[in-house]
Amino acid sequence: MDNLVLTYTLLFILVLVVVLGMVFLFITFNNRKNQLLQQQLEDQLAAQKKQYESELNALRSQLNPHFVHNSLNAIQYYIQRNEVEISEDYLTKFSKLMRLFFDYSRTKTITLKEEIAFIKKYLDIEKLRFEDKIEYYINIDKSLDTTDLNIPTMMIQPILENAVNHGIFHKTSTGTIEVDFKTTKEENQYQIVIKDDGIGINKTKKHNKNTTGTAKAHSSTVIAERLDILNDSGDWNISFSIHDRSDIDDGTGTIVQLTIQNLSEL
Amino acid sequence: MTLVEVTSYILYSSMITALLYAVINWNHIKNKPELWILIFLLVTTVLDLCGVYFRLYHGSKLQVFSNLIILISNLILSYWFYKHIKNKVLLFISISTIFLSFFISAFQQNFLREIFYYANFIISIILLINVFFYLYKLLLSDNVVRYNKTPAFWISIGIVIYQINLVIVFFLIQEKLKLTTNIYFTIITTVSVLLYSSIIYGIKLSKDYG
Repeated sequence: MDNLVLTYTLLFILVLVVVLGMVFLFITFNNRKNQLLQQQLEDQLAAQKKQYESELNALRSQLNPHFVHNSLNAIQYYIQRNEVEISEDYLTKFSKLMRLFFDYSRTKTITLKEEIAFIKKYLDIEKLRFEDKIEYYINIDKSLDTTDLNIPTMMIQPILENAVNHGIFHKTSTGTIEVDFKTTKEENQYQIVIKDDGIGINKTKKHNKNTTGTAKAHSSTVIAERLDILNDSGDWNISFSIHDRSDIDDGTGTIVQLTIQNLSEL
Repeated sequence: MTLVEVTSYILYSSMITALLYAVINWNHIKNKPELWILIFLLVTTVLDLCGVYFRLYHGSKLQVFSNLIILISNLILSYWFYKHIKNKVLLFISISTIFLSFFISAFQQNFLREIFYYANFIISIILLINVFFYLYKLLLSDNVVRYNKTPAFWISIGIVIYQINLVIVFFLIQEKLKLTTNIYFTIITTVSVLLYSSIIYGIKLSKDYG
């Protein structure tokens, strides 16, 4: 009887050891599997991020060639007219803008202050090109800390370029562009409203249908692509809306609203 | 019907089921290392049934079939492990040890009438080492992410359970156990059913996941 008890006890211990051994084996394999899956996921995310960055780099550096061409033409026009001072001023501003453009093309974000300085330079050049047919106003909320808040580089310039070339360009009288920087209640968030009193997006669309309209379509696509990539990256939460002012009030022109939140610094 | 007869039926049924399942799924395993599992099952079943035939119909007490199973089936399993581990040194050591232990036993025991227990013990250790190498290699490889869908993993688990039982129960603590025929057959049937079930599951995975 004692022997039988011993036999069953030993067999029970053996079964227990084997079962525990199997449990240990499965836990080890499962842990390793999870570790590897996590590693693969991280690699995938890193690759995706890298791809996003290279796409963003490419998009950032897409300064409309028309702008460069038009600016150089305008400088040539002033030179031909022997307006040395204006052409010199134009050339200086243009070269400064180009320098900033190349500098910012290499960085992902700049401060709001830098962006505002950049768009001022851009609008000054456009003002020279249009021989003061453009007026612009930049309003900044006093509570907005422009040195602390960041913005993805070259975010506003393409929108302003649309306003100039497709809104105000077709207007006979002087056009006005108004850029408002506003605070919001959310942390690390602000709003940018770009208003122009040009012909409005509805008329522009109509006009583009009659002509080729590729430039406008191109820059809008670039903006949309960039916003998608920035939102997908998880670092930014940017909402974008564009309306014809006649749809909202009695005004003419286009109104663009951007609400930007930097999630990476939250 | 005695317990021994019941367990024997269960054991042979599970063995033949595994063989038939492997044959049915021939197309899914013919170009894979699991082909060697089919050969293992074929050899084991044929030799085992030969032993049963001679024992039942001729009253023979020949153990030659058991010895041949120990030798051939384990050589096949070693080669199956080689197909996964791809380690020629381990294959060479495994085969050499299997033959050496078998020949040493042959000098000390009667090949026809006695089971080569000690050779079987050494061979079991060799197979456990092969299992260890295989599992270690799998653990370090990227294939570990789908380990539960890997046929060889499950077959190895079956082999581990079967061989651990052989090594511990029938060799290391044999003297401490009072193994009645009923207990003996219950243990050997349980581990055999686990082995053949793991083989069936492994072949099923081979069929399902390629």
